[in-house]
Amino acid sequence: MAAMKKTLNQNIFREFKFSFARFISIVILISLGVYVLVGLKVTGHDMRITGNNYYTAHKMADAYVEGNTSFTRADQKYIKQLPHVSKAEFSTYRDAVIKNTHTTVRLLSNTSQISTNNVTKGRLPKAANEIALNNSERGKYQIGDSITFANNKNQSKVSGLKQTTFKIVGFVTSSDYINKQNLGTTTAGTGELNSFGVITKAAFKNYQPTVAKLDYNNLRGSSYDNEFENQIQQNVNDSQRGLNHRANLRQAALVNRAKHKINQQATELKRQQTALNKRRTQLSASASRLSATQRRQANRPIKAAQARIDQAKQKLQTTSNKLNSGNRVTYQIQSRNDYNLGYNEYGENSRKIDLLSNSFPIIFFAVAILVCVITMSRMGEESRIQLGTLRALGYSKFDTMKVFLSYGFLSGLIGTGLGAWIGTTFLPTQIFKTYSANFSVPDFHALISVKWILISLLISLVCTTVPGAYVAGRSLKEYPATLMLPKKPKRGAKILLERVPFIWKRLSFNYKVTFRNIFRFKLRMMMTILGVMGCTALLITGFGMRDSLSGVNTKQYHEIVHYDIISIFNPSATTKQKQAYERAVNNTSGIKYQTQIYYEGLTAKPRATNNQSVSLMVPKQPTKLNQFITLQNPDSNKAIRLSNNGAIITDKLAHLTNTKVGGHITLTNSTGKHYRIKVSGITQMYVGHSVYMNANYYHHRFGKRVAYNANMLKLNNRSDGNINRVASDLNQQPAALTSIQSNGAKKMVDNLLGGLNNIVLIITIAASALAFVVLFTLTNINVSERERELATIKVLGFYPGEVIMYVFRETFILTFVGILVGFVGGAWLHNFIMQTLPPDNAHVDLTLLWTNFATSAGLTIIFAFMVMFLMASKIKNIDMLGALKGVD
Amino acid sequence: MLAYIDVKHSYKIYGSGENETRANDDISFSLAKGELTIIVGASGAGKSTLLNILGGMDTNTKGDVIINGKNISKYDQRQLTTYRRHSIGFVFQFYNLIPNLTSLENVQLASEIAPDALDGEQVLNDVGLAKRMDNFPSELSGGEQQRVSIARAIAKNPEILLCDEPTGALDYHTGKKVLKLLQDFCHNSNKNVIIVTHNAAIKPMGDHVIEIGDGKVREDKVVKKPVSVEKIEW
Ligand SMILES: Nc1ncnc2c1ncn2[C@@H]1O[C@H](COP(=O)(O)OP(=O)(O)OP(=O)(O)O)[C@@H](O)[C@H]1O
Ligand SMILES: [Mg+2]
Repeated sequence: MAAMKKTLNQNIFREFKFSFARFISIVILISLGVYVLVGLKVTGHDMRITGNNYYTAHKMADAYVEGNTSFTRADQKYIKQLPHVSKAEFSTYRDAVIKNTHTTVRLLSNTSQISTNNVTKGRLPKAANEIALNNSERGKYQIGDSITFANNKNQSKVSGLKQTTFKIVGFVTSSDYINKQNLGTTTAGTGELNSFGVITKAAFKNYQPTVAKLDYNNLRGSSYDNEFENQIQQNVNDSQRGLNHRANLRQAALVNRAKHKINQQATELKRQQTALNKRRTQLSASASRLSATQRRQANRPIKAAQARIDQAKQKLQTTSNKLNSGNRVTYQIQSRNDYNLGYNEYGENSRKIDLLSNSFPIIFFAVAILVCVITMSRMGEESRIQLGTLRALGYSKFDTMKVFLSYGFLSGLIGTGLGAWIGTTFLPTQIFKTYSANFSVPDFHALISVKWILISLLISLVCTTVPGAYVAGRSLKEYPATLMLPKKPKRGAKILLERVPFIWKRLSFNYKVTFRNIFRFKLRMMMTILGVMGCTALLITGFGMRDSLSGVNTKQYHEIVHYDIISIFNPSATTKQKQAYERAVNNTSGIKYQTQIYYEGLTAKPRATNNQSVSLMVPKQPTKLNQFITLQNPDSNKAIRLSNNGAIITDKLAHLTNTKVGGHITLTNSTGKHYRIKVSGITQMYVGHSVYMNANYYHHRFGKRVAYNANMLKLNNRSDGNINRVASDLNQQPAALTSIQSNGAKKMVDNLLGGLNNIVLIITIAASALAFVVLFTLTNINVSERERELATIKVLGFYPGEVIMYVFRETFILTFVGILVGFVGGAWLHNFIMQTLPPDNAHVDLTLLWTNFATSAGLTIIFAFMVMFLMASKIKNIDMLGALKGVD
Repeated sequence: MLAYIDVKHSYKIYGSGENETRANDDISFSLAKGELTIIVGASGAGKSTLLNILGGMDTNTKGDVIINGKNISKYDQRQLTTYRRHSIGFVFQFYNLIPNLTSLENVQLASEIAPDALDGEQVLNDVGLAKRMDNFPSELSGGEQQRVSIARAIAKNPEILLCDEPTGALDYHTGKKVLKLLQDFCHNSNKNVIIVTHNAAIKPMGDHVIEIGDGKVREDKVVKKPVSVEKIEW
């Protein structure tokens, strides 16, 4: 028996050797499936873990309280005692521009316990004239360099700072600024924050905290977990009211103090006036005694004093006016997702990959499994005679099946191992690499996901062992004697098409044969079509995703958004400052159109997603709005007008909040006050949420007259450089607060696109490989199954090309059908993915370009041809004599 | 008499040195046009090898094979294919019909590629299968299948019809019918038919009998008065 076993093992070994191509095909198929599944499943998770590690290393704050006025001691005490706050640390910042550049930098006071700045090189600042810069500035600056900051007028003077020139002593990373490009909005320079630096508290003039960084003690899980995020959000929501109250108290205190000062000054002025009046009376009393010249001389100081007093009175009047109408004190509390743009985007990006992991791998796996099943059952059939012989020799059923089990087990194991390995290492790091262009989160942690690898292994092993063993087991039920006869070839049969003589008669002989053959092997026909369909669909989706995403920017900036800058000013600035600002706007060169609007950043809180920022815009001249923004119905492209009894909202916002025309949407302002707004129209927009209303409806809803606070500008030259130039020129005005650039969204989409491009590339390559292996495997089976038939027609005198076409006519027809079905599948898959993939504040054009179809079909056809060339040699090498020797 | 088929010192040697097998060992003979040739010999004698070389399915190691004045032993693969396509009809022991094609389609498969092909239906009619034209091979008996196979070979209108054990898988009566068909075809069309068999009893039906043993020609004789198949018993 031992000797027998040895022969059996040899036999098994020979099976591997003789069907090496088949073995490799199965391994590749399985590894492709596992690679995409494991890769996409772990990447999102890996990214979040990596992020979380980074946040933990920086002791990132769970929430921020930010005031537009500094916190008093009492405020600080109050914040420290907010519910669930375990720790609070205070800091402040000033925004400035690096002298002689457009680069805006936030200069932060260093924190040591929460949201710390971790040194990557050098050290943290110790003296008031030292600074540690954002690590991403390492290429531009070196330790020991000095750096000078300026205000918006490029003067070396930054309000709130003792000095403007600092010595660079180190480079740091921060969890609060993880975006590499757009770190947030600022009042400095162009309005977009570019970088940050850390300085000591001593560097600030009269240091007063304006930011509180909070840690909570009731959080479970890690960053981006639902439980974690929801708890923070709840804590934040619970605290806003109390903070509003604190802000009101502070407001009242400030007003009182100011009033007191004003009163003091008024009393003083009154006293001076009385004194002056007295002098005037004295003067008039003695006037008769003086000459005209003397009188004029005596009058002069009195006149000057009067003028001084008048001026002081005027100033006092504006100050007290401002007290009533001026900016109110706000203390805003925000969760990580809201105070930290990068945190939100990074999490969002990782979830987009999760989303892809739910659709793409299924198709890969499905196709791979189908082909494995067909290959292995074919193997079971091929080995009939051998099985019979072994049975006749007295081997047990298990022994005879061993070959399938070991073959399947090995291919499944190797395939899974290979796929899991590349899927765990290569794919996640590749995807992460593209994101690391936008985020300063380093040290990617590629974790091994035991769960997904085991799931893949289980599916793979089932696919590779069960079909072969099942088919073989079925044949083993027959008697060894009948088993040893080869299975009768599949009988020929008429096909349905023949019953349509109209078509059948017209077909050339070759096509009749081809169609007969196609329908003879129905299973393989289905498999080929499904395989090709899957691959074409994946390719279309891959290419389509890229075009849809890049189409967003072109569409958005050619069809919808025409303005370039919204320059926001302070309506309670002095009349003189406002006039200067207006002049500056009017004198800016290269403005095509300009109009005044009211602009305010609000928040929508849809139930299903994170908080969404919404821009409220109220145009002063509603009829001119279409020069800046096209308001149109997303489906019919019909223009929509502003009305007196409702607002127009953008379509993605309507979709997220599930609002229809005639419905209502609730928006929240920075102090947490809610406004219920009626929707009179829904307009098309690709990126960003906006709400548009006219002054009447604003007055009606917000209970006050609109105070226009912004200028919307459309420039002749829409290049980034020109937009930056105009924005920073305007921001030089004391009345200017900040500039919002319409191309900010463009950059965000570009970033997302950059990240996805790599995924698309990886998916496209994997889909191509899949298409190739599927076509190869199925054609390979087709050829070996029909070796005898091919030998016969070779003997008949078919030339090699004709023999190849005899087989490939089928493959091409099936490929063609597969491509057509793949078009439908691809359109569906693309639609499905593109509805969920874009960020919450964006949506994309779902229409596919004809080039997407053409490229995908073209690639698939190229693969079919490549398979044909590979198969050509196999067909050429079919041994006529050998193949014809056996029994029919 | 001018030879139509002329084989001169043809060798087919497999392997080398100790393992050398001479399947054909210096074979020479010539056949006149229109002869029905019977090649007999024991199993392993080298008959199939010879037939395959004659039919352009195999090449010899050494020697000349001249068919109608052309030396096919010097042909490359492509020329051999053309030669098979235009000049040769093959009939195998195991029919080798294509299971997915009807009788007629099996015949048409061959006639499609030959330049002066005969009408498929007519040929099937001639072999007595007018009624089985639309049947698939699996629906036919062995004899019927072999007749389809002969029809397929004939339909190409080849110069030479090569048959390797055409009756090997058939019973006595059916075998006889098939041989009759071949004999009639040969005499009616004046084409060369070569039948390989190990059944020496049918020797009398041939115009020319070549006996092979151990790769060599043992006997080469032209029969003056061939007997009709019906009259042969074995
Ligand atoms: N590919 C090959 N490699 C080695 N030897 C071969 C090969 N093909 C045939 N032979 C040998 O050549 C010899 C002649 O074989 P061939 O098939 O011509 O015999 P045959 O006369 O047709 O026999 P049968 O009547 O059994 O068909 C045999 O000894 C065979 O073993
Ligand atoms: Mg033989």
